[in-house]
Amino acid sequence: MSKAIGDPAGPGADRKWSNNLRRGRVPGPRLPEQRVMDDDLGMSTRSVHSGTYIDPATGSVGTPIFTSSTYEFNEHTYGAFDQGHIRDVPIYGRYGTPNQWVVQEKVAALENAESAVAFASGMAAITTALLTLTNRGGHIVSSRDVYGGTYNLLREDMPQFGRDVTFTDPTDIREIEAAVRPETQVLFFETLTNPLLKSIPLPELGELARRENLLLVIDNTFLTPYCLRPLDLGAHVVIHSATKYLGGHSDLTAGVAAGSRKYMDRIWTELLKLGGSLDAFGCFLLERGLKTLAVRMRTHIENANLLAAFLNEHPRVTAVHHPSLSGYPYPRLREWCATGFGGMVSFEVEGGDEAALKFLDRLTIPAVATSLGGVESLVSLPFNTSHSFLTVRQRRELGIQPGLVRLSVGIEDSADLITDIDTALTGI
Amino acid sequence: MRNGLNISGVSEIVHEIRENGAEAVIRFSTSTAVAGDRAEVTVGTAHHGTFRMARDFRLALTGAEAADPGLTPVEAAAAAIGACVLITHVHGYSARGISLTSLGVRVTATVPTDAAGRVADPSAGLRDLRYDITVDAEATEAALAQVTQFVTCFSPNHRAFLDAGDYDLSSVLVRPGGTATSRPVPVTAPAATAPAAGELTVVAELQWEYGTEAHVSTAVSPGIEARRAAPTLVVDQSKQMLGIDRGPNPQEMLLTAISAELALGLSALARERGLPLSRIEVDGGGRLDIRGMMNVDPAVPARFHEIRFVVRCEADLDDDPDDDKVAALVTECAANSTLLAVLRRANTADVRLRSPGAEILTLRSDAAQVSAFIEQIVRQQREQQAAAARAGGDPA
Repeated sequence: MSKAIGDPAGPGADRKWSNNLRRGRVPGPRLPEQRVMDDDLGMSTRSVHSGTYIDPATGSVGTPIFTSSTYEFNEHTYGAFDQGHIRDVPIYGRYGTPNQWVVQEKVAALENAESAVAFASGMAAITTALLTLTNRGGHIVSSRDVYGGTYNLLREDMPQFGRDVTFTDPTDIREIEAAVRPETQVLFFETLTNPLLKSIPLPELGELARRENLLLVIDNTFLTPYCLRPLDLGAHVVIHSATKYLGGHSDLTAGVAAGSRKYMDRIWTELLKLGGSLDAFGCFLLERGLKTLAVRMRTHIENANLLAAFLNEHPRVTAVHHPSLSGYPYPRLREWCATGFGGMVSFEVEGGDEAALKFLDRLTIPAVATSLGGVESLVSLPFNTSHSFLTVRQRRELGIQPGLVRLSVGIEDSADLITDIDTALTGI
Repeated sequence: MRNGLNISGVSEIVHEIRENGAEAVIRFSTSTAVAGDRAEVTVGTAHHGTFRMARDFRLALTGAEAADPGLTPVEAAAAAIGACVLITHVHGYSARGISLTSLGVRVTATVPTDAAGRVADPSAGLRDLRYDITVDAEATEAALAQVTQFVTCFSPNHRAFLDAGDYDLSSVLVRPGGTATSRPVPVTAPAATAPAAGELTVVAELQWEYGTEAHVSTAVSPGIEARRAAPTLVVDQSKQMLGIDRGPNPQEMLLTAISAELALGLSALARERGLPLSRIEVDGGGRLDIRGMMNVDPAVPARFHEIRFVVRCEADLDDDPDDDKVAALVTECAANSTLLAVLRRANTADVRLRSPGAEILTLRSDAAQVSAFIEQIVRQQREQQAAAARAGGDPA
């Protein structure tokens, strides 16, 4: 077995880790066979090469799938147990495997993070991160617009764990500031809300977190590091449902958290107990997806921009929600999202939910399904899916009007998508 | 993980605090309110560098003379000092690879009393402080003794007890209508000494559970020792400090003890003087710099320091007490405080370390002992560094 790359900076024959005031921060975890790319390389280069494991025996250019759930002990394993750096040595599937480390390194490289932790789902990442970063008696400030699964966790379960939660308008920094209490520990927000693509005041949230000694945790699923790197704007931890754009092919359920080694080590420790680790085959799919992230995102963005413009002019559409449009109410997003706004578009069909259902029936290319971020276009109606647990009044308060359609724009030919959607709308 | 300390989750902390000292500073706080003959203490959110640690602990303390006496401030103080000594031992053993089977710390101290059983000489603080430490571990006696010597140098509460230090104290008077005025209260000269006729013996028995968690039994004799058969307290560190949030930590316990003593003392004094105070609160705070604890930077104090208390009194009667009267009352209360005297004066502690069947170490811990041991450590470190440099290696 290879010696963990963490060893030279931490323990080893001549360098004890515990009781040693000269020890240094260890990157990774990573193996010496994994590629480390310079920070100044482009997004595509990093997404293809960062973290990839080059097998020394065969020279394979892709990472092998290490299906083993356990790894033989040797002096380094025992040293890790003795000195307390077991995150840096392959020991057991839940603790960390070469395939997990590959995707973690890739995501860390893309998010400008020191370290990352792979999870079995985005919700596993969120649950583990929030429980790690708060104590019993603590308080979380979040958004009324968060993803339904997250909302349910925050509303139903966090109080059971002794964490109180305040839900705010995620676009209103003053309301967020006013919600902060002495026991507040975490601000948790999504970079773009679902399904209306509201933008949060991310730089101000970063400044608030810095000023008040709060931890800013950002779900960057909708924008991906291709469009936005929240750590650069003051976030401490960035989270993804990797099921979406990072995986990109609707064939994987996974999650990732990224940030400083300090916070990732703590989140990893909690992962060991909560158990939401990602298996090797899931890691393989995620690594494969990550390699094409940049090229896919360029097409997602281009198609979404074209569709948003098209829908904005369509007579059967009463409103379109997309950051590329001139009427978008949060234009400051463009200051920190120079490369685009992801592939999501929401719009309201004339005739309300009934007309929207007919529209879905008439589509031939986008699949009517939940989720987002895959290469194929997906379409759904919030009123009977993601937001069906809300009352009509609650949906209206969030801005979800009858007839709202959420469209995850894939990477199909844009002309085909436009023709299909035009036909479906016109025939309602 | 060793001795229940999750060292994996904080692998880089030493690196971090060497590079960025702000991350080493932890500020603890308590808020205390008098309710009847009880001081109700709420442990506040702690600030650890650039993040917060929420706390969820409330304790009720009483004077020994209360109709239904609870934990008294001197018991809480003995528990706070003992807990810090115990937890620092656990860290020391863990860092040296020593696995514990059991660890107990028995803290005893006395307080002189007058013929009526009241504190006779508050300026004496806690006298005859003694730690009886019992350890069962796989290690040489020399290694165990060295850890205890380190603890006498780097346990923050022990050092706060040992070193002559200071504190900030201020009084705030809140008048009917909500207007408030604040004024500092000078570090107080000792109160007049009454002839000592006896003494109270304070005991805190701490038993290590796992990690940084310890269960504490306390007693005061003569008086309420019979009630203390079962453990009355759990102390622990926050999870960010390698604990599991099972109870307040030693620094929070020390603030709890002193705040409760001030609040209960002021309440009794105001009643005795007929001063119309409707509400008495004490906010306590203190600072820990873990670079000092870990000897990362010799210039950083190891002791719990920058300890401050704000006494807030509310008046709701027509007879509006002025600031002078309230400040004088707080000043007198501080002068009568055994625990503030502990912070103010230099103290000594007798330390005895035993393992099953063996006496390992006895020492008197005071400023000279601490200074001599730290000099010895520094000398050894320099010698190791020089030897490593000669060998071309990297000094540990």
